[in-house]
Amino acid sequence: MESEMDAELRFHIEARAEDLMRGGMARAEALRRARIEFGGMDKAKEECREARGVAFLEGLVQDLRFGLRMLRKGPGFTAVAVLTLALGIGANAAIFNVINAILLRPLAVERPGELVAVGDPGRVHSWSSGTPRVNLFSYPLYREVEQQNEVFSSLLSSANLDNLRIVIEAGTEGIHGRMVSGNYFQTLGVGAIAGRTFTAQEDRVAGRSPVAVISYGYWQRRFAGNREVVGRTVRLNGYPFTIIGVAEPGFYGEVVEDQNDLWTPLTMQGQLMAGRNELDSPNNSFLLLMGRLRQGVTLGQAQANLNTVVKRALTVSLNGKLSADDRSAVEKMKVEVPVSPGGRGLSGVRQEFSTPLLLLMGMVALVLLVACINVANLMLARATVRQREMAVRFAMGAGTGRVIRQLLTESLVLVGLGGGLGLLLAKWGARGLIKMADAGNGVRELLSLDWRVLGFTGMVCVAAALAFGLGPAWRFAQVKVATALKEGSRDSGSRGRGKMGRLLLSTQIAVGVFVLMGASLLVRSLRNLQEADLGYSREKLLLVRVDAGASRYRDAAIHAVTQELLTRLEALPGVRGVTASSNGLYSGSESSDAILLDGAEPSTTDKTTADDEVGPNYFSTIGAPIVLGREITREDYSKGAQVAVVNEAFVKYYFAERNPIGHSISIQDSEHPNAPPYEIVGVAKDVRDHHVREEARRRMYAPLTSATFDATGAVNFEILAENPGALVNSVRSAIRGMNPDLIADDPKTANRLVGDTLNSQALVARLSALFGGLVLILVCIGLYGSMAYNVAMRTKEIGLRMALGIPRGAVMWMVAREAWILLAIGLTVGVPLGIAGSRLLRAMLFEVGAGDPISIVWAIVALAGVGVGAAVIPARRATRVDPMVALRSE
Amino acid sequence: MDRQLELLQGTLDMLILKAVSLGPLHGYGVLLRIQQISKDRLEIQQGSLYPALYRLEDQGWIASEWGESENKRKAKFYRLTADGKKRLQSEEEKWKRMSDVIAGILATRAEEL
Repeated sequence: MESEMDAELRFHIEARAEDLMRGGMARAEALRRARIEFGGMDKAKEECREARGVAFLEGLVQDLRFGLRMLRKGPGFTAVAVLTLALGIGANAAIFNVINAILLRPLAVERPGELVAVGDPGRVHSWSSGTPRVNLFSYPLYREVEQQNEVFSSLLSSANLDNLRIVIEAGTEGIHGRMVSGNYFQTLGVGAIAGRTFTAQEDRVAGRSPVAVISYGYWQRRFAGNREVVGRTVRLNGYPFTIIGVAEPGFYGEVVEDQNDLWTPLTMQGQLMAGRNELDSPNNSFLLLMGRLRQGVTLGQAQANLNTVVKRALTVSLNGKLSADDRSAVEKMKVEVPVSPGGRGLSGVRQEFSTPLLLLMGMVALVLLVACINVANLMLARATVRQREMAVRFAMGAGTGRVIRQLLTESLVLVGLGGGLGLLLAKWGARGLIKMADAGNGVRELLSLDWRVLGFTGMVCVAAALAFGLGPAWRFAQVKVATALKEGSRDSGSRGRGKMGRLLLSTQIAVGVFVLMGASLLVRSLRNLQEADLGYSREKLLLVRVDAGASRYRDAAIHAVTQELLTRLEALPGVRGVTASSNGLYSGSESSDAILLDGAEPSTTDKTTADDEVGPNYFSTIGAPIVLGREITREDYSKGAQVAVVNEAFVKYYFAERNPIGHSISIQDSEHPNAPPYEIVGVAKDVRDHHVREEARRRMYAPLTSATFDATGAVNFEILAENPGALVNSVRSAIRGMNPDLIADDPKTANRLVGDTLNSQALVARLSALFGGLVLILVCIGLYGSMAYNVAMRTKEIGLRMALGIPRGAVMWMVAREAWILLAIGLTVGVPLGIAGSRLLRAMLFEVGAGDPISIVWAIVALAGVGVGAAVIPARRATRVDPMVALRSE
Repeated sequence: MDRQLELLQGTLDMLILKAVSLGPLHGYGVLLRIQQISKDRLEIQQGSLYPALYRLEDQGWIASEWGESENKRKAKFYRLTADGKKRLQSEEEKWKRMSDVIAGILATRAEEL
């Protein structure tokens, strides 16, 4: 099109020139005359383009081409701007990518909007025994709710299966599985790509449906998509199951962080967890439910109906299965079943990371802001240089709107390049982030640059282009043609640039302080958490959980195997002591009971206390000091003595700091009505045994061997060693050496387990430190660039001053002063903002206040250091100006 | 030579339509024909000729195609379309009515009021 127009106009000029030549004029002269007669060629072309209606699109192509040419002409500027934007946009896209995977993406099921999660959607791996709960369901309670509710067209349930092992022909491997109700696939609307899924048939009789459905991913990975897998028999935890189908591609289950390989019917629980029947008692809660709402039913109505149905089930239909204690407990219980939209699946990771992720999102938005300010500043500097070019364009008849559009197109080209690079950064950034967060491999599978991520990134890019492009464009638009052409490109613009530039720089510094203060608070909190005194020697402990119950040991055999393991582990070289416990340290399991206590303060109405059953010398082995009396000894342990150690919190609550030694504790347990009481023999210092942030609960410890406790068979071993990490393999083989089928978790150091509970904290602290550093670099580039530019612009003035004999120091001060004023303004605005803003972080802080002076000083020192550095180098360069050269420069 | 008249605003489009109604022309040809018909009494800004041609084409009143000029060069020729013919007619009528009215006004003397 463009060349056609050129050809047409060229023809016109030449035809006219030929006519003139016919009149006797020389060719060159004729062409010149023809051109003059024609008038403004560019203006005519521009008008032609506009007349043709397609001007916009064509203009855009032209702008793009011109923009690219301009960017090629300034490769330094382009590289810095694109990299800066790539970092800013990449950080945003990476965080959003993770947010999308964990918080936003709906399940690959039919009409996810209709699904409702019933129970606490974060407890995806929980098993709980005790008084019936309503945030996690027992199998009998699920059956009642499923039949009695009036709000769901279908209600499924599922439970986590720890340590699922599959044997296909030969060779055992661990896979991810979940036990589900028969209506699971039908409720979700997920079909089978081969074979079939479960039906109500699978729910009918416990132990009669040894069938399994595998996921599409596992089918591809393990069976290479072979259809003959349907009908094949495999062994799951030692029991033969037949694979009856393969679920549709894209479906990995309803738990976000677990990419399930396999599903089995819930009715097979007893076969998968040999010897443990969890299905009959309403005291075993381990199911999460998900229902599909009937047409027109709201979430509120669903909740109201569930509250009624659950209450009725517990107090009427299931009442006969409950103990007297539980009966009175459920009678008094105010039933409020947690109900929430379930379309995005269930997730514990979501609960753990949603606040940190949103916090990080806010932080990267600020990083992008700082990046945009930098690019805006660069563009402003170029604006001054390009003033003459713009004046020429105006003079040749370009409209204001047209010039602004051209400049915005250049911004868009920059941001397009930056955004493309940013997406690449985001792709591996998000993976790194998930790895850093240790949020589970499942989540990593979910990361993908889908339309949400791309759309978000696109929006961020446009916003960024407007943010850094409009200011300079607006300044160009105000160029006065005549003055700009006359005065030359330098002085006329620099004043205006100065004002806007200064505003941008001090904003940047203020934002920088804000981010750095936040980062410093988070890092200090993490350090406090990591180094917190938990009350035991966490540096020297190796912990391992052995589940003898699941390995078919019963009653006395459990005690025997525990004793045998204690002996074997103790004999390992490097081991200084071994003990055991039911709940122990950071094991994730916890128990409590109602107690009767003689001599307790009459005001103490809460009779429930946390408890634990421990092995010999538990306290001295884990390094928790005994403050009064004695600990539970080897002798207590071997004869199952009815003695107890209580902690300080216990003494404080029940005895108001009086000496509790010699008093007795009875456990109120309907299954052991005549159990003898425990005599308190010692007081142990409080330990933070489950979470660093949580104060110790009041707790009593009794020997593992005492009569009142039911041995579930899962025992934690605490191994004391100088270098616990080095013992992992020998401990593992000692356990395997005793019985290869004994189910045991991987041994982990106490430090590692404590660290695991700090995942989200560590993630936020590390990333905020990273982003803080990024902001610091950007501020440094911004200040340095601006100062260097100022010095360049003022070369003549500086030369003059030096020629007049003003000392170097004074010149340096004059040049650097501006940077320091900006720094002062930025800090004055930023520090109060930072103090106010750090309140947002409060939930993540630990033993530091929101206005923590050390963090403030840290942020100020970091920024001031960078600021001074960025100002001094150009200032020193200024003093090296040779007056004569400077004066001649224009 | 008489002094050239400047073109009245809005009349260039009509003159172009008239010029091409007499036979297809290239841009330079349009210019020549108008000058020829007007016996060089009208001054046409060459620069404003092409935007007008593009505008008329965009509106569908004229159509263009590349052809060969009288001295064997490639040139873009414009011709009147059916829509353009109607447009020219209505423009002509409007112009006649307008010039009658204006002429009438200018011919008015004081005693006639």
